[in-house]
Parts: sequence; structure tokens; C-alpha cells
Amino acid sequence: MANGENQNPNPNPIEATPGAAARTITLKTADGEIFEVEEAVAMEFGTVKSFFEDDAVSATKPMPLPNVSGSALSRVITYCRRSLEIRSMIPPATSEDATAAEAVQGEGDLEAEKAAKQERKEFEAEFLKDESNEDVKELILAANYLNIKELLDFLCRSVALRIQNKSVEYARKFFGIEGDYTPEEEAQIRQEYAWAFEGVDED
Amino acid sequence: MSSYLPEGVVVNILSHLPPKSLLRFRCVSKTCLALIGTPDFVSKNLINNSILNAKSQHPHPPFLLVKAREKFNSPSPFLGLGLGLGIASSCNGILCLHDHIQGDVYLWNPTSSLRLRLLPRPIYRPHTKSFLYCAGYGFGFDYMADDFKVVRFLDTLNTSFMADTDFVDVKLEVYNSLGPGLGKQLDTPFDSNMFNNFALYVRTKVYDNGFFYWWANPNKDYDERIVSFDCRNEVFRMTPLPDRSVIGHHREVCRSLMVLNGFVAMSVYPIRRKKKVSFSIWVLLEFGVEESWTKLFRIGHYFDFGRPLCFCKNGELFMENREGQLVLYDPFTQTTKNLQLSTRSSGVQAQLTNILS
Repeated sequence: MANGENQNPNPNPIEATPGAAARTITLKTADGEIFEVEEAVAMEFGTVKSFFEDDAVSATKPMPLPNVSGSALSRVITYCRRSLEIRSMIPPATSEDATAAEAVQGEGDLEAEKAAKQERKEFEAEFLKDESNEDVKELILAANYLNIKELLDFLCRSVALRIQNKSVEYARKFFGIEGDYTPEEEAQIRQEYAWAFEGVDED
Repeated sequence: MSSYLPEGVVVNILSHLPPKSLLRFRCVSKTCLALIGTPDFVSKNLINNSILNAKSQHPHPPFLLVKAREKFNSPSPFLGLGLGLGIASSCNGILCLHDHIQGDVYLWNPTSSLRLRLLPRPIYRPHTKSFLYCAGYGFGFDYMADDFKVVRFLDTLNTSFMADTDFVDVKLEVYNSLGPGLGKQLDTPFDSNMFNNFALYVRTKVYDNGFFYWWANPNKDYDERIVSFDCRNEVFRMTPLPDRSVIGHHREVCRSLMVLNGFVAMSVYPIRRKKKVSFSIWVLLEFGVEESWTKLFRIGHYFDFGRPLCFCKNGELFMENREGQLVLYDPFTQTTKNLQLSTRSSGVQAQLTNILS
């Protein structure tokens, strides 16, 4: 485009080539909020990915997400965006050029991996810090519906940490499960591993 | 909006819980009971997986290093050191060797056979009229500190004619790196009586991922304990053994100390060996809690085993059969695989070790 022929002045120079990185996908949540998300981030959502892999679907209409609220989607997008950034810190493994250069690159890769791991650790620690159990559950349901494996695994791990020292009642409330034992049955089950009920946090 | 979570998600959450939590949450509902199951290494249910999932956070999976010495041929750096050399332990491809005669400890990397490091002589200076004796070693790699650690227990034998007890004192030395003179000495919260009964057990001490475990008798009247030493934080802890009524009197059963994924474990088998013997494997699900000793599984007498060695990371158990060969037993399928390595010649020391990539 060095020659002066500006027949089609493009306001957004990045979109000059079709399929470039700045393409966005529009999502519409259950409560009517519209989100414009970078394609790379939206493709982290398994549900969105399969929706757009279907050729008949046009990429211009907003995709409806009837099971996800605006606040949940906003948090999910934040997570996926950051996760992509961290993953890009690790250079991809190059199978070609297996030369001495690779040995040098190997050292650098190890350092990059370590740094990425540390970044992820800090980011994940911060991400759920102030979220209530109900908020975390909403995020889990969103991640489950949107089919985002990495986020779902992270959320489940975090929940496990939250509940591991809690009582049976607490777990029931969290899972939304009704206890279905008779009092006698429950007493017998408690008896089998009575030591596991010691040292549990107060509700 | 309902606050219920789909079952797939519940399973995902449960799969990250430690055994104690899972055993408690069996009570949550009948569905949870079915999902969690019982710790018996029969089916790959949630509780069995939880016991097998490595607790330790180190990045490299452990594997078994089996050292079988056919005849004693000193490798070249050791010529002239005599027959007292034995393997104390190993970690990350480095062997820790102990010369019983001279009392010296060496760290040797077999791949670079010339490299050899000698640990400094013990810091501990015993009183006169007493004799220094090394009661045990631990050697391993501390991933948090990114460094090797050697732990040495020192015991003094009182040679004075008038002494009431034979043993005086036990000290522990921790060496943080391979540099000279960087050892630290710690007092131990027990006396030498704790080490007196070493000879009674087939395996009396184990080192695993920064923890050193051994059998001990704090009071001479068979009130046995397993002691653990956390090399990282330099903390001692003790845990009782299962009651005699549960596993049998110590005169009748042989107990072998092992570690399964960071949990202390034990194999129990009768001393009086009839033709064939059955083994029970127990695991301690919460250190310090006697009731948390759980019988995991039994290996029937139709397998002609000699003794158990140690666990592999997916719950398989290395054993030695009566012909002295190394066998791998899978408790989930109850089948064995004969690895054809002969252990008879001069004893196999099978240990889990970690290898840096």
C-alpha cells in the first residue's frame, strides 16, 4: 500500500486482510448484554467454537447465550483473555531445525515456562479472592455451559480447596444436594470413618 | 436461579479432594457415596484415585530405581575403599553410599563416574568414653529449596563400664548443599531407645520427597510409633501404629514400612511362614491419627511372594517372589508381571527415586 492510491481508505488498518487477528465475535447474554470479544478469546469457548464451525452460520449476528448472565460472562472473558496472554509467554515447540540452536532455545523455554507458571499462579490466586460461593457457582455453571475446560478445572480445584475442611451440611448446601439418608443410615456411615469427621471447620 | 450443580461438575470437584474429605463427604448423599466408594483398590473410584494422586507438588514423576549387585565390584572411584560400602539411598540419579567401615558418606553420580563428594565428618563430638555410631541416612532432593539434602542420624554408644544404658543420645544432622561445612545439627525429641529395634523389621526407614520415616519405640514397652522428619521445615512428628488387635501382635507379624504417594503405608504378613503367605497393605490416611489406618487390600496366598518392596506411582506394588525375582503386582487387576531381575545375589535395594529431566 506504499503507492498513494487510496481508493478504499480503511479506518482500521488491521482489518486490511480478511481473517486477521482483530476479528470480533458478538455474544448476547441472558440478561440482554452485548459483548464484543476478540475471536481468539471467543474460540476458547467450546460452545462458541462449534457454533461457528458450522458453515451455515453467519459471523455477524450476535450469538445468544441464554444460560449465562452478563456479570458471569464478563468474568469469564477476563479469565480467558489473561489465560491466552500467559500461554503466549511460552514459545511454541519447533519441530523443524533440530540444531544446536534448539539446545540454546531449550534453556530459554524452561525459563519462560517457569515464569508463565508463576504468572498463572498469581493470577489464579487473585481471580477468585473476593468471590462468594454463589458467585463461584455461577462461574462454574457458565464455564460448564460454555465448555471451557481450563476454566472449569481451575474453578473446581478452587472449590475443592474451599470445601475440603468443611462439614457435610456445608457441602450439601454448596452442591445443592438434599441429604437422602435416614438418620439411622447416616449415623452408620459416619461411624465407618468417624476419624474423618474430626477437626472439621465450624459452619 | 437454582443453586444445584450438575453431576459432572460435582465429580470434578470431588476429584480434587484429599482422602479424609472424601470419606466424610460419603455422607452427603447416596449419589456421593456411590461416586466416592470405599478405599480398597478394587475399582478406580474417587477415593482410590485420591489416594493415588500424588500429594507432593514436585514437577517430575517418581520412578523406581532398582539396584541389584551381583557381585561386589567397586566402581572405579571407590577402589581401595574396601567392602564396607553399601548403598544408603538415591535420588535424581545420584547415589548416596555409606562406607560402614570408615563411616564416611559419599554422593556419587554414576553417569559422570569421576565425580564424587564426601560428606564432612559428623559435627557431633561425643563425650569421652562413648563411641559415635551412625543410625541412619536420608537423602533426597528438596524441590522447594531447589537443593539436595542429606540427613544423618548419629547415635553414641556409651562405652563406660558404669553406664546404665548403652546408648546416650541421638542427634540429627542436616546438610543442605553439597558444599563442605554447611551442615546443621539438630536435637531430636527422643533418645537412642528409639533406634534399638531396627533389626526386628524388614524395612525400618524410608525416605520420600523431603520426609524421612522410621520405626521407633519411645518407651521400651513396645509402644511403637512411626516418626517422620520433615527435612524442609525441620520438624519431627510421630504417629501411632494400628492396634495389635487389628493387625496382629508384633511377634506374629512382620511389618514393612513403605510410602504410597506421600502417605505412610505398611505391609503386614505373618512371621511364621507356611508354604504360602498372604499380605495386607495398610495406609495411614492422616498422619497422627491412629484410626485413619486403613486396610487397602490383601494379596492372596496364591501369589508366591517373598516380601514387598515399594509402591510404584499408580498403586502397583513391587515385590520380590520366592525365587528372588522382581515382580510388579497390580491390585486393581490382581495380576502380576515378572520383571526378570534377580534380587538374590546380594540383595535388592528398591527405592522410589526422582529423576530430573
